[in-house]
Amino acid sequence: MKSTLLTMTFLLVTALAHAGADVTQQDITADITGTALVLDVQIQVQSVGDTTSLVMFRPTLPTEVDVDGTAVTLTPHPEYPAQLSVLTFPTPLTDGQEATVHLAMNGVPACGSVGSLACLHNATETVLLPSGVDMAWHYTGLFDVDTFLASVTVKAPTGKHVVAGQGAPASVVDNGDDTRTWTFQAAVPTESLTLYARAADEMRSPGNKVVGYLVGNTRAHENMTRAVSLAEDLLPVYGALFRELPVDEVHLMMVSPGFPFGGMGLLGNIFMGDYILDTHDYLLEQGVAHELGHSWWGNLARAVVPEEGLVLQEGLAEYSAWRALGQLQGDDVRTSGVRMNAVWYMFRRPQNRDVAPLDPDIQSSSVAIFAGYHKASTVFRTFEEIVGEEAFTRALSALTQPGATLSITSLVDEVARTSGTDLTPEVDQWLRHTGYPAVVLTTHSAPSATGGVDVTVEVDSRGAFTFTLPLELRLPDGTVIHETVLVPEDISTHTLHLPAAPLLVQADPRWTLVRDVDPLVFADVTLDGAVDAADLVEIALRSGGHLPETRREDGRYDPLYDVNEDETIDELDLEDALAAVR
Amino acid sequence: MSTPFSRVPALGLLLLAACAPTASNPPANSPTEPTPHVVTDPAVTGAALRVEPVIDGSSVTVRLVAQQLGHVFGLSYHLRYDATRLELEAPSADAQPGVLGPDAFMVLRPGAGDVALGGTRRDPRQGEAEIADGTTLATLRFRVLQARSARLDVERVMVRRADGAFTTVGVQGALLEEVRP
Repeated sequence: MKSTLLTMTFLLVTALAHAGADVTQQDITADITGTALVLDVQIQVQSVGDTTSLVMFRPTLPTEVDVDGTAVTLTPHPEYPAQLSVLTFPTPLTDGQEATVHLAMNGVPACGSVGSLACLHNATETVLLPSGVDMAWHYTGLFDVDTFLASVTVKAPTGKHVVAGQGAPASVVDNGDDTRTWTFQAAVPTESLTLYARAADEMRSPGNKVVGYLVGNTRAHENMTRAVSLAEDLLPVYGALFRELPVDEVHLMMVSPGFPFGGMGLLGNIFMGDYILDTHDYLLEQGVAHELGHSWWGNLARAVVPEEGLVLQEGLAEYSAWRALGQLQGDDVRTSGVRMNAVWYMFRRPQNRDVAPLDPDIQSSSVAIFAGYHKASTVFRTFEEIVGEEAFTRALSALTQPGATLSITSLVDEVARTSGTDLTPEVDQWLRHTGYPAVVLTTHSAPSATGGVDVTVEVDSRGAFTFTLPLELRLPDGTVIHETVLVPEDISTHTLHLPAAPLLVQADPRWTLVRDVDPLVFADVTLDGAVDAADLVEIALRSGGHLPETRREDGRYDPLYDVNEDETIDELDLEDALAAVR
Repeated sequence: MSTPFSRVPALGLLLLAACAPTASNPPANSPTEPTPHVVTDPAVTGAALRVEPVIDGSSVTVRLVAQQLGHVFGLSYHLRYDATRLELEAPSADAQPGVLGPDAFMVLRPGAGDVALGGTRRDPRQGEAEIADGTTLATLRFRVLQARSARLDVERVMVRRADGAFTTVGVQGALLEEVRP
C-alpha cells in the first residue's frame, strides 16, 4: 500500500528517472542494536540507454555514497531539494552497462519529526516502512513500477523477533554477543521492502503458516490467535481465486501507538496498528483480509497508471477481502461488507462532495477514499455480477500472474477474453463518473390470463446509470424466485410472470451495486405495493442498524428500512410504518 | 364379526372421512330449512394458521388459531373474505391477544374483503416468543350480509424467526354454508 499521493507529485520526475536506470537488486545490511541505525545498501543498477544520473528519495540518515568504489556526492534535486537527491555517476553509463551503487547510512532516524508513518526505532521496536519521502532507507523507484530482488540481513538484539524481505528467515545466527543475525530474501520482484523488529510474543497459526507478533493484554492475545488462524484460512481461498502466494510464511506484526494507520500489507507482511487487536477489534477480520489482499493487489500486481492505483489496489483488495471472507464465513458476511462500503460512500461523504474513482485528479480530492476505495470495491462486485463469477475470477487471476500488467485497460481486456463481455461502458458509468443510481420501486400483482400472476415492477431510477437490478421474490409457499430487470435512467416497467403473488420483494439483497432503493409506497419495505405487518417485521429485524460515524464500522445500515430517514433503524421507524398501515 | 370383505369398504370410508373437509355443524336432514354450518378445509400438518369460525345466528365469530408455530419473532397474514356477503364488525381492542409479548407492535388493518393481521417484536435482541399449539392469534366478528355460502381464507402468511429465517406455514381456511343475515 504505497502512497499514491506521492505518485502524483513526482510523476514528472518518475518519467525522467525511469528512462535512465533500472535497479535490479538491492542487498541491505542493517544493524539495529544501537541507538543509531546502521544501514548498508548495495544497489545493482543497469543502464537503459545512456545514463548520467540516478534520482532517489533523499536519504534520511547521513549517507556516504560510492559507485563501484568511487566516492560520489548526492546533490539536492533542483526542483524538489527537500525530498529528492541526485546521484551523478562518475562516468556516464552506456546502454546495458551495470554499476553498483553503495549507500552507507548511519544515524538516529528522526522518525517522530519527519512524519508519523515513517518509522520507529527505539529500544523495544524498530519499524521501517516502504522507503519513501519520509524515510528513505534504501532505493525506491520514483513511483513507476521498478521492481528488484533483494536480500535483507539484520543484526538485532537477542530477544527481538525480526521480519524483513519476504517469508520466513533464510537463517538466524546467534552471534554469541547477545545479538542475532537474521537473513531474509525477497525472491519475488518487489518495489518495496519493510523491516520489523520487536521484543514481542510470537503466536503461530495451527498450520504454522502465519506468525503473529504482539505485545498486549489478554484481549490482544485472543485477537491475534483469531487473526493468525483467519489469515491461514484465507491463504488457500486467495490462492484458489487468484494465485498461490509465493512466500512460505506470512507475518502479522502489531505496531505500537504512533502509527495512525489500521494496517499495511506487503506480500505477506502485514503491519497492524495495536488498537486493531484491542479497542477497535471490529476491524480485525476485515483488516487482516484486506491487508492480506494487498499481497495480490499492490504487490504481485501493481497498478502501472498512477491515477488508477487507488481503484486497482485499494478497491480490488477490499473487493477481494469480502469475497474471501464470504467464502469462509458465509454470503451474509460478504453482503454486510459490500453494504458497509456502499453505504459509507453514499451517505458519509462530507458535504456530499464526490469524485469519480478514475478521475485523474482523484488524489487531490478530499473524498478520494470514499470513491476510490469504498465505491470502487463495490463496483468490482458489480462487475463480477455482470461478467459472471467464474469469468471475472479468471480475469483477475490473469492480472496477478508474473509479467502481467495491472491497469483498467488490461482488466477490460482480460474480462473480454474470459467472458466476451466488454466492460468499457460499465467502467465508464461507474468509475469515470460520480454518483450512483437512486431507485424508487414498487410492484403490483394481478391474476394472469394464463394462470398464476403477473407481477409488474415499476422502477424510477435517477442518475445517469443503466444497470441490471437483481430481484428476489419470495412466494407464499417459500419458493424464492430470482429475476433481473434492466433499469435505464428514468421510469421503467417490467412484467414478471410468477405462480403466485410475492410476499416479499427484495431489490439487490446481496448488495451487488452502489445504489439507494426506496419504496414508492411509504414504509412498504417489502416492495409488494402495500404496507402490512410484513413490513413491520422486516424493519424490526433490522432494529439497531445505524449509519456509522466511523469508517469501516458496519452499522448494519440499510437505508430502505430507515423509514423516517433519521439514520437509525429503531422503534420510531416501526411507529411510522404502523401509522402507514392504518 | 366382520368378514374380510366387509372390512375393506369400512376402512376405505374411514380414510375418506379423515381426508374430507369436516363439518363442525352437520347439516340437518330437513330439505326446507338448511342449517348454517361450517366446512373447514382439510387439516394440514406442521406449522399452520387455521380459521375456526363459529356461526351464531347472523353473526360469525372467527378465531385465527396457531398450529405448531413454535418460536416466532414476527408474523404477517391476511384474512380474506367476501365483502358482499360478510361485514367485519369493528375489532375489539383485544382482538389480538399479546402473543408476541406486551410491547410488540401489532397490526390489524381492516379492508374491503381483507384484514391485515400480525405483529412483530421490536428487536431481534429481544429474542422470540413461543406460541403454543392452539393459541388464538386473533378473534374477529362478522355480520352476515347475504344468505349464501362464504369463504374465509388465510393468505399471504409470513412467519419469521429472530435471525430472519422463514418458517414454512400451511393454512386451513373454512367455508360458511347456509348462513343468513
